[in-house]
Amino acid sequence: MSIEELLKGYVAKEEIYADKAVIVEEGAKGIWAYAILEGRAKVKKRTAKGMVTLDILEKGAVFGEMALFSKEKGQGIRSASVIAAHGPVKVAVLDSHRLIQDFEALSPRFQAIVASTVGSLKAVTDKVCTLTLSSK
Amino acid sequence: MSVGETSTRLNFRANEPERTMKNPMHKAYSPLRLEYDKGDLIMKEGDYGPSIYKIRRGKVGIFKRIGGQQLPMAEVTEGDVFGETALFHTGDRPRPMSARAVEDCELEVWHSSELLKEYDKMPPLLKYIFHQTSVRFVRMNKVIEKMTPQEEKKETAKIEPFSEKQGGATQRLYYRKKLDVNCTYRPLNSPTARLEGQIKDISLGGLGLEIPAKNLLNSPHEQGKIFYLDTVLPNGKPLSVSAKIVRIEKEAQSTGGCWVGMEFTHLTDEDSKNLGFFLMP
Repeated sequence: MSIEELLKGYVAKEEIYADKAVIVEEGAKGIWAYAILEGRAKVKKRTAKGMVTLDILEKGAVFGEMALFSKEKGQGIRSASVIAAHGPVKVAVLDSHRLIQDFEALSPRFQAIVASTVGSLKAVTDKVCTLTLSSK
Repeated sequence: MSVGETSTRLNFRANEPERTMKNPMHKAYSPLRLEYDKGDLIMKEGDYGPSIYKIRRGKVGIFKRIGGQQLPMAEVTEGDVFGETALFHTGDRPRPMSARAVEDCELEVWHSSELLKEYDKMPPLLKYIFHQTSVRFVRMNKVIEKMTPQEEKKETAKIEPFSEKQGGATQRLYYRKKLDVNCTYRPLNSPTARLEGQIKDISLGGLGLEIPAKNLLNSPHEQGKIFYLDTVLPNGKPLSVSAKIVRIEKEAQSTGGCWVGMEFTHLTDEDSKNLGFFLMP
């Protein structure tokens, strides 16, 4: 299934960000999740010794989802920034309400597993950031 | 993976902490409850296991071995879940982290095969996002495995990744198997060099290599230097890894050469799987 097919019925709106524009800002509160439709974006995180690029997202990548599925449902603080890279980026802003409904329709066990996976990714990413520059 | 394979694998892993579950398959659907005392190892990095745990009472520390040290990654508590990577990677990928009871605790144990049915029925977009998160976790986990904590650099002399000592921070995390196979190896930055040695023991974390003294003349073997190694395991599976020297002992017992303790810096999924099978007791 293509990303367009997967997103059918979930797109609240589409947005275009210019090169280097900040789509999601680390530390800010936010409930929207996004999917990249065109272009690329960098995932960056602040560390003691400056910004570190953790990932480069391309078409089909979803981001901002941690805010929806973590334990602090909906109260999520953005754990990293996502910044348009190598030109403009077109993103789909996802219907958070519907995604949360889908999530809450899962069994409590499965909700816990999804939240835990998000938590583990966060924990390992944070650790990578504390180690990244301290060792070099 | 079929259910049958899972239980076979558990039977092979007689020393795995998860064996305390006692025939999980006979209790499908009624969540098994386990109690652990403070300090008990619940889940061991490098092992294979199908269980996902939910904490009913108590606190659990999650640890990862990075650069020879056990680093705390997270602390989870009542209502939290851990070991969830078993959902996708029961048989093909070892546990990425260890879990130890920080307090006496009571856990509920879920078997991944029960939960996979629900995974299959997830709404497609949610499933896609969840899968993406899992893939990102696996990748980040690989990144961190290549890193070295700062503390280790300062105290290189005190760290013994191959220590035999049981209990405490230097407890060996991986089961190590003795063997005696020939291997060729070369420094990472010299693609044309070709050295030979005998692998004397191996684990998922590293290996012990015996080399003739003349190798030292052909190429420096100092601590921290990374080499490519090629060998064929006694079970017929090829293994190509990169590993760094963590310890050198001049004058190995049998050959008058050197003994070199090495830690893997890179293992492909395939190699890690082959090695995992070879290491099963």
